[in-house]
Amino acid sequence: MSVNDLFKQELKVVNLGLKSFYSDLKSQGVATVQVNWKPKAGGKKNMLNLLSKINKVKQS
Amino acid sequence: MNAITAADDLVEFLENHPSFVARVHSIFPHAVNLLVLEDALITLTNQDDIMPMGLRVDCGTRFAEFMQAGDEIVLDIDRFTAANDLITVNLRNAEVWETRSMLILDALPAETVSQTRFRLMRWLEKQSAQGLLPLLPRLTRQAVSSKPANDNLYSRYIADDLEAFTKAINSSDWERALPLADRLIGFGMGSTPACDDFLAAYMVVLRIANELDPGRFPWIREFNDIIASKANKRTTLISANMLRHASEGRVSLNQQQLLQACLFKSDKDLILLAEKVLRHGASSGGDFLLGLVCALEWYQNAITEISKEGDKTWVEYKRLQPVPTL
Amino acid sequence: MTIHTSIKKNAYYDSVTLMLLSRQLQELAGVEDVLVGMGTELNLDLARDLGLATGEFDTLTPNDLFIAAKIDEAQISMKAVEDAFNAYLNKSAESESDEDYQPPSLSSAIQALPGANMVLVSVPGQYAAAEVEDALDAGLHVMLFSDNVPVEDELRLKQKAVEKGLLMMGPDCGTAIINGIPLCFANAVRRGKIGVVGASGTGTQEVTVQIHKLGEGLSQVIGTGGRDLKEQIGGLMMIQGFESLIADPETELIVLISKPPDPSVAEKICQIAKGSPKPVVIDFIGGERAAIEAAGAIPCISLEDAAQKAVKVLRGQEYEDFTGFSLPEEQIEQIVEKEAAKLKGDQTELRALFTGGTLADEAMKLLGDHYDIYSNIPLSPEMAIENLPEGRGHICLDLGEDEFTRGRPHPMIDPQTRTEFFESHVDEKTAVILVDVVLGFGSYKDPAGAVADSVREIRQRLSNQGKDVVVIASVCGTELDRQDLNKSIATLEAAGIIVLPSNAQAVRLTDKVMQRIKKGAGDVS
Repeated sequence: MSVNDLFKQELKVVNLGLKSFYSDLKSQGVATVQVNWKPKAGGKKNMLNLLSKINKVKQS
Repeated sequence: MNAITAADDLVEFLENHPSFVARVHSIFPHAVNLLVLEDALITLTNQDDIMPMGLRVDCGTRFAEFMQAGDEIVLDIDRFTAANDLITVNLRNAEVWETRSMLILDALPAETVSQTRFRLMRWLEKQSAQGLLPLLPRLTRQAVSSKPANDNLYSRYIADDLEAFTKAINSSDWERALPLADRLIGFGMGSTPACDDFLAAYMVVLRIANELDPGRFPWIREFNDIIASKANKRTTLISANMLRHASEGRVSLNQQQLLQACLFKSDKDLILLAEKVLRHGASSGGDFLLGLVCALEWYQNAITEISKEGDKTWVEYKRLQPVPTL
Repeated sequence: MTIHTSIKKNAYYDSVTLMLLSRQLQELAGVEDVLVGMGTELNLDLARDLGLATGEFDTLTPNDLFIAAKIDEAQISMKAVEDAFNAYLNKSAESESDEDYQPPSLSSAIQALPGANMVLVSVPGQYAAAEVEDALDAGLHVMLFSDNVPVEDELRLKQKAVEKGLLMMGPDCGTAIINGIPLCFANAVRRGKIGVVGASGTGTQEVTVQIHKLGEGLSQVIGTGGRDLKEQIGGLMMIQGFESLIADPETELIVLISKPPDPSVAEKICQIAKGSPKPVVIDFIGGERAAIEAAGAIPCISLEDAAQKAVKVLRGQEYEDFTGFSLPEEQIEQIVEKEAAKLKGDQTELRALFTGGTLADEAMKLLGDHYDIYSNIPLSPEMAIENLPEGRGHICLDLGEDEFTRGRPHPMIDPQTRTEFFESHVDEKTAVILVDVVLGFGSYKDPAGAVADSVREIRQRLSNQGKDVVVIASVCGTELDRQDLNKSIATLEAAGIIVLPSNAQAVRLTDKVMQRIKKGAGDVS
C-alpha cells in the first residue's frame, strides 16, 4: 500500500510508546490501539537457554 | 502465535510431562484455561498479567474466536499444538518468569510495612466499591462516616463472617480462624468467588512470613494446606487452583510485584502496581487487595515479633555466657 | 410466585458481568428476586436464605452457574428469564469495548486493529529500529518519534520503506498531519490544498499554523526526521514525501522545510522541483536561494515567509519576501520605545529560551551577524554555550535538546525545565527575554500560563533591584487547539509580554529593541 493509497484511507494507528499520543488520537475519534510494550528480556533466563539445556541432558 | 513469558512451574510441568494432552476448560476474553491431570489448570493470557502455571502469548484476537471448551491441545516444552493443527503456540523465545523470586531480597521493617499499608488503604478507599470492597472500613476498623453506599448483597451477607475471620487470624488465633474460613470458601460472584480472592491474599502473605522465619509460625503450613484442600471441593476449579498456588506462595505477576513492593525492597511505584492488580479480572483484583490490606496488619505485627525476639535472644545469649574471670 | 433454578454447566464469567446480569434480570417484569452465581456451597446457602432454593440445588457443583429466580408465572416464564440471560450475555460479548485492552506486541496489535495502516513509535531509541522493521515488513507506514536511533539503521529502514512505497517518518520526527489527523506534536489546522514535507518539528508546526491563520488549509503534512537531508540518508523521505504530494490530487501547492541540506541532497530535491507541475515553496532555513530559484521553486527568508508565499501563490497573487510586521510601522516603533524605556543602562543581554529547536535556529539566523549568540545549537562551533565568557553574553537555548531532557519530559510537554531556566539564566543584566509558546496536540495544557507565571516571578525578583525586563513571545497555535490561541495570547499579555503573530516577527522586534538600547545606552534613565 503506497503513500498515495494511505491518503485515501481511514487512518488507523498502532501506538508503541508514549500513552499521551494514543490518548490524543482517541480523543479525536481515530481508530487506535496502545501496545503494552516491554523491552525483550535480553540476558535473563529464557526458554531457548532451557531448551538447549534440556537437549543437552537428553543427549548425555 | 508466540509465547512471550512462561511461568517456571509450567516449565517444570512441561519438562516432566512431554507431549501431554490438555483440554480447553474455560475461555474468557483475554484468557483461556487448559485442564491437565484432572484438576490442574494452565492459563494462557494475552494481556498484561500472567498466572502461576501460566503462559503469556502474543495474540491479538480473542481466544474465543478460535478455541472452544473441550478442544484438545498437545503440550510440548517448545510448543503447544491444537489437535486440528490450526493453532500453534511457539514457546522457544519465551522469557521464564520466576514465580517465587521475591525472597532473596531484603525484607522491609514493620514501620515501613505499616506506612505502605496505610497508603494502600487510603488509595483503596477511593476506588469504586465493588465486590467486597464496601467492607474495607469495617475490616480495617476505621470510623465509618455514613451509611456505606454501593454495598451489595454478597458483601452484606458475608460481612460478619469476614470480620470474624479477619479478627481471628490477625491475632494469630488460627485455630479459631480455620473453621471460620469454612464460612468463606467459595462464597461470592465470579469464577473466582470474592472470598477466595480475599483468602488468597492472606495465604500468600502467611506463606512469605513463614519462609522468612521458618519455625516461628509452625501453624501456617497446615493452615494453608487445609484451606487449599477444602477449596478443592467447595469452590470452582479455577478458584481451587488459585488457592493452591497462593498456599505455595505463588500469585500472578502483577500481584507478585505488588507484594514485593509492600514487603521487600522494590523500585517500583506502589500505587501503579496496585492499580494493575485492581484492574484485573473484574472485582477479583479489589477483593485480593482487600485481603492484602487486612493480611498486612497481621504481617506487620509478625515482623515486629520477629525482630523483638531477635533482640531478646541476643541479650539472653549474652547473659548465659560465663563471664571471663580475670 | 414460583421458584426456579436454571443451570449452566461449566460456564465461566467474571463477577462484574454476573452482577450486571443479575441486575438486568431483576428488572424484568414478573421477576421478584433472582440470584446468579457459581454453585458453591456458600453461594447456595445464600440462595437458600433468600428463599430461592429448589430441589435441583442438590445436583449443582461449584463449577456450575445457576440462576435462581422467584417469578410470577403469569407475567414471565423461566425460559424467558433464561433467554434474557443469554441475550444479555451475547450482547455484552459483542459490544465489549476492549478499550483497556493493550496487546503485548506490535503483531498482536495489528491483529487487534484490522486495517491498521500506521505505526507510531516512541519507545527508547535502542529498541525502536527493530519495531520499525517489523512494522515495515507488515506493510504499515511508520512515524518514528524516538531519537538516538543509529544512522545506519535509519538508512536501512528508509531504503526498505522506499522500496515498499511506505512512509518512514523519523527518527526524531515530532510532527505530521496525515489525512487531516495531527500526530504527536501538531496543531489543529483546517484541511486544504497545501501539502508540506518538513524535516523539523516546530518548523513544520509554525508553517502550518501560519497557513491556517491566513485562511488556507493543509492537505498532508509529512515529517522526515531531522537527519533526512544529510548526505548519508540522501533525503530519502523528503523525496518520498515530495513525490507523493506531486501525485496527490488534493494537493495543489507544496512546501518543503528543512535546515540547509547537504549539497548533493539539495540538488536532488531541486531536480524534482524543476519537474514538478505544481508550485513548490522551499524554506532551507537560512540556506542559499540561488539553486532554489534556478529550479523554478520559490525560496523563503523565514517560516512565516514560506507560509505567506505559499498562500499567495495558491491564490495567484503577487508575492515578495516578508521582512516586516503585521502591525503598522509606527505602532511597532511605539512598542520598541516603550519597552526599551523599561531598561537600565547595564541591561544589555538577550535570553532566548526556546522549546522548539527549529524556532531557536530560525531566531539565531534572523538575528544574524549583529549578535554573538551563544547556544547549545550554535551556528558555529565557537559560539557553543560552553564558551560563554564567564556567564556574560547573549544566549539562545533549545531546551528540547538531549542534554536538557535526560530523565525529564520535553519542555513542550512539561514547562518545568524552562521555568528553571527563567530562574537561573535571567538576571539583572538581562534586557530581553524571547520565547516560543507552542500549543497543540502533545503540548502542555497551558504553556502560556506557565510562561506568564515565570515572567511575573522574574519581574518581582528584578523589581527588588529597581529593574524590569522586556519579554517578547510568539504563540504557535490556532483557535482550534485545545489551549486556545486567543486565550493564550491574553494570558501572556496580562503579564506584560509583547506577543507577535509569528516567530520571525518576534525575533525582528527583539532585534529592534536590542538595537534601540544599544543606541540609547546612557540616554535611558
